[in-house]
This record gives sequence, C-alpha cells and structure tokens, in this order.
Amino acid sequence: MGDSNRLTLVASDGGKFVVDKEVVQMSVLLKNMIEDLGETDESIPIPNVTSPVLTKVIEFCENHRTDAARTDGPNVDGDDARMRTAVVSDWDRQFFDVDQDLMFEIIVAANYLDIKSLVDVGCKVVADMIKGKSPQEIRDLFDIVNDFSPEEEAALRKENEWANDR
Amino acid sequence: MQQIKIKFLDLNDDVLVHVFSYLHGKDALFVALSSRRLHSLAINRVSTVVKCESLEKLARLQSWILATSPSRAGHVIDLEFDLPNTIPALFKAKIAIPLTELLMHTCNVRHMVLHRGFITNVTTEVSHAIGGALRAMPRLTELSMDHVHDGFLSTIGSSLPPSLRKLSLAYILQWHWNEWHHSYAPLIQILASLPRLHTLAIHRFEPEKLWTPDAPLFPSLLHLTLHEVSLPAVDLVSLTPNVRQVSVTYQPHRHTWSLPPPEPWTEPPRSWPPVRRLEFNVMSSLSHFLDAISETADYLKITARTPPSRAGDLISTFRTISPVGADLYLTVGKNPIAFWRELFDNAPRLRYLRLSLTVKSSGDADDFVTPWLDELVASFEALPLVYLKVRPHLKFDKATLNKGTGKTAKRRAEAQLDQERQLTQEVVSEMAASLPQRLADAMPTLSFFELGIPGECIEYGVPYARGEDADTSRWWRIVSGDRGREPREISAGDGQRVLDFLEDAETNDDLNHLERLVPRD
Repeated sequence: MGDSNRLTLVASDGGKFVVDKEVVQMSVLLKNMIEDLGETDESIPIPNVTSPVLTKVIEFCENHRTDAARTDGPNVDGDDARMRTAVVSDWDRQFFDVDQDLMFEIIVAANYLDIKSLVDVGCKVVADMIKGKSPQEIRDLFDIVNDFSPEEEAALRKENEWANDR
Repeated sequence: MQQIKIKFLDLNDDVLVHVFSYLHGKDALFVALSSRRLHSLAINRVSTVVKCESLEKLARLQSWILATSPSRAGHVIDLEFDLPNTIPALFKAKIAIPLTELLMHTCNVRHMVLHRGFITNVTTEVSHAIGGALRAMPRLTELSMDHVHDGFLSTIGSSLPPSLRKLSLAYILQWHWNEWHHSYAPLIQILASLPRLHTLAIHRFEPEKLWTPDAPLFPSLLHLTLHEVSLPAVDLVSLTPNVRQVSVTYQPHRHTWSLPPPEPWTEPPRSWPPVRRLEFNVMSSLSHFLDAISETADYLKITARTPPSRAGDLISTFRTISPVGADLYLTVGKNPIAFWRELFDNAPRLRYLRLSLTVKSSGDADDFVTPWLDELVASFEALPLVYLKVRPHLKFDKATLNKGTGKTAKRRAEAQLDQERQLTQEVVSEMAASLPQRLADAMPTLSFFELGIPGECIEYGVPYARGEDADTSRWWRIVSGDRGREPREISAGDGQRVLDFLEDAETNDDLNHLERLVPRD
C-alpha cells in the first residue's frame, strides 16, 4: 500500500530504508531491477550492503539527484574528461570525511550498485590521498606490504628516473 | 554477523584502476613502486601526461618513452609542448627528428597542447611531418595551438584528425609579425575538415573583412569563444547554425587602440542562429551585431560596464534578445533605478538577474546608504524574478578627488581607495542585515538572493582581471515561514549549485525544478 513514487530497500542486516524512486534509479543495478519488477510494493533486498553504508549511499544519491538531468550539452567525451574534472566538491569531500573502512565500503557498494557518480567521487578522493606521498608513505597509509626486493625497487626507480624528477 | 573490514587492497582491480586513472607521473610511479600488484595496475599511468618544456627534456623524453617495447608512447594521453620561444637555428634542425618520432608513436593522445615556442620554431618541413603525425592520432579530441599563423595552418591544412571535438587556436600578434596576414582560407579549410568539432576558441584572429559569402556552414559547432578577434571575424556566428553558446571578449581597453574600427555594413548582416547563451564584454561590439541577432537568447551576459549614458543600448539589446537570465555590469548614480524597470518592460521573460553595480557617490557616506537601499528595494518591487544577485561597489565621483601633486596626490588617491573600500563594506553589511527580508517582502516570486561581496581588487569590473576572483558571495533562500516569506541563509556550496543550475537552465520550466536543488530544512 505504498506510495508508488517510493520504495523500500532492505540492507544486509535487515535495516529498512524508504526512498524516492527517482533517487534509487541513480543505481543502474536497481533501476534495471525496478524495470524488471514493474509496479510492486515489495521491498528490494540489498544483501551485500550494511545499514551504515546504505545510509551513506542514499545520502549521496539524495544530494546528487538533480545532477543527472544536467549532463546534457556537448560534454560527451566520456572518460576523456575524467582527468580534467578531477576536482572534488566541498560537499563530496565532507561526505567522504569518514574512516578508511567505511570509505572503501561505500566505494565497493557503489561499484556493486553501479552508481557511477559515487564511484567516481570515491576514487577521486582516494587518488587525492595518494598524491604527493612517497612509496613508503603510501604503504603505511593503506597497510601495503612491500614485496619488492631493495634491488628491484632501485632498478624500477632508475628506469623511471625521468618521471621521478618531475 | 561479524563485520568484515574492507582495506585498500581488498578493492578489486577495476576499482583500483579507476582510482589510478586520476594519477599520473610521479604519483602514479610511487604507487607502482609500493607493491607488485599495484605496479601492474599503475605503471602505465606514469606516462599518460607528458609535458615537455625544454630541448634537453625532449631528448630524454624521446629515449625514455620509446625505450621499451611496446613503447610507453602508446600510454600517453595528454601531451604538451612548451618549448622556449627562441631556439638557436642550430637546434631547430635537431628537434625535428625526436619531435616527429615522438609524435609518430604517441598514437593514443587525446589532448594535445602546442605552445608558442613549438610553432614559431618549426620549419615548413617539420610542419608537414607534424600534420602527418596528427592525422595518425585517431583519438585526438582536444587540440590547443598557440602562435599559429596562416602559413602554419595552411601546412597543417586538412590533416587534423576528424575525431577532434575541441580546438583552440591563438594567432600570433599581427603587429609583431607583419608578414603574417590573417585570412579566412586556412581556417575555413581546417574547420571544414572537422565534422565532430563542437567547441572552438579563436584568439587574436584579426581579418579586416567579413567572412566571404560563399564560406561553408559549420553545423557541428556548439560553443564558440572569440577572444580579441576583429569585429568582422565575430560574424563567424552566422556560419554556425546550431551554436548554443557564444562568448565575445576583449582585454580591457585593448579594443580601443588596436582593433580596426567596425566596417559599416554594406548589406544587411546575415542573421545569427538563436543561441542559448550570449556573452559580450564590450557593448559596442554587441551593438554592432544587434541587427544580426534576430532571435532570442536565453542567457545574456554583458560584462561591459554600462554607464547610464549607454542605457539605451542595453535596453534595445534586451528588446531584441529577451533573455531569461542576464548578468550585467552597470554604473549607477545616487538614484539607481527607473532604468531597470524599463529593462523589464523590454524583457518579459527575464527571471534571474545578476547585477554588479558600480555606485557613483559624492562621498558623503552618512546620508547616502539608507536612501540608496530604499530606492533599490523600491525599484525591484513586484518584478517577477526568481533569482537576484546584487554586488555593490562604491566609487566616488572624480570631482571628489582633491587635486594635488606628487606624493600628496598619491596619498590622497590611496586614501580615497581606502575610503571607497570602507564604504563598500559598510553597504555590504547593511545589505546583508536587511536586504534579504525586504526583498522577500517586495518580490513575491523571489526564491534566492545572492549578495556579491567585492574582493580586494574591486576596481576591476571585467573578467580576465583579478578583481572577480577575489569576490565572495552570500546566499539566502526565501522560504515560507510562520510570519510569511522569510530569508534563510544557505551555504556557499548550495548557492553555487543553484547558480550552476541557472546557467544551464533553458526555459522558465527549468526554474520550477530549482526548488529541488537545495534541501529544505
């Protein structure tokens, strides 16, 4: 007996979220699912995403709901534009001002739900964290084990000296 | 259920590659050096952006990028050459080979920038080779070339790849290089060979005559930026039947001394297509084409400072164009208005208006601000605007400046600037305190009010000057509260989004969606 413009998403831990259809459709996965289901009152289970993560994903989609309508115009170069538009808005930056685990969970969820704009922003934020850091700092940041021998690493550095001094 | 924490290395390869797509050069290299798996995912990003600004670097670049097999050149996406302006003749011959070899291998380049030192130093022979290399870049979508001239363009000719979407051509200054005459043929030949080109920027193109009547049309062009071009060249707009945005700008003051005066029309100007957005920063150049602009434009931006004496021009422009949105720079006196009342009579579609007002004052601050604000509110009463911006900047009448000599004069001028700045700040804070509520009461349709706060260099009123960069704004959204319509201040981020939306809005219908942009509290 629901409002036909809203539907219910159920997170892996059973948390229920009533959301505008328009917002849900930012997820390509859910959009296709809704089209397959047709008019229905059934809630949609999202088995891979927990409540805290789904809360954040919905927050993002609510905030960016009007963006999609404005992607007309001649800016149709697809991923060409990617490098140029690597600037993250204040809102998005604040949105991702969470601990690393949650940040990566949001990105994984966005990737699974196929929400392109959220994946883009998340990846940009991670890329920004990497910028300006040394290999060791990157390892420390992300808990990466160095599996190069010192000789190998030195050889790779030497080979790429040109890029290194830029 | 045990919560499983996700770490960076738990992200799948697709996501990691996506992350690294925002990195290049040293950043990509350092990720690649952190572990084997990341090396395999990130190493190709190292050479995606290549900038070459010296002959020495060109040589190193050549050996590094072509050393491996398959060569790294295939990964280059952004390529930029910014060679020194003057290269000794001895080296000119030497750069030809590495340059062409490099270009022949960088076949996946999408964006390329050739700065002035590149083009002024290549011989005709090399130009031919460059043309050949460009033709073999099937993914090139964006090309920017500085210091081009007819000779170079003729040589490049129709060898630009048809994949190009954006092209920027900056001509060499004529008075510097008299031997290069600006004519249409080379440019037409290039444009006619690019069926997908949607964005064209031309700088300093100064032909003396109008486009020839038999020039072809360029239906793919949607965005046109004409900077510092002669007036006859502006008529390119009439050859672009589908253009949506036209921007015609000149450096402050330059147009007054170096451009040839407009030719009087020998026959009626060809009509321009309807455009969505029209931007001019010189009123006279817009007036010159007013007869050609027979259709409406939805968004009009005139960043020329328009003094009251030229209000007539502005009003006839509005009558012709009838914009939905407008961005205007006006000089007004003590009695600001009556003037834009008339604007509205002539532009019934106008719904959002951004005004930068230079207010001429005699300097007697005390009895000035309050009546001026009263007048401002009265003049907007009942106008059907959805969005209004006002950016005030007070300037004293010249007569106020006491004449003097030497240091005294300088000190007085500085003191006056200080005083103007102070008075502007007073007006701004007075406006912030009372204006949103008063406008909400006076204008039943108003949804947003933006108060522009001039930055430090407030004497500049034109784009390309520093003044605007230093500007900040405060935004209010008008909502229905318990006591009728009341303004609530919103964040700068939300205000900016409303503005972005408006800049794209095509019709009044679009404005109905405006409400959804900023979440209600």
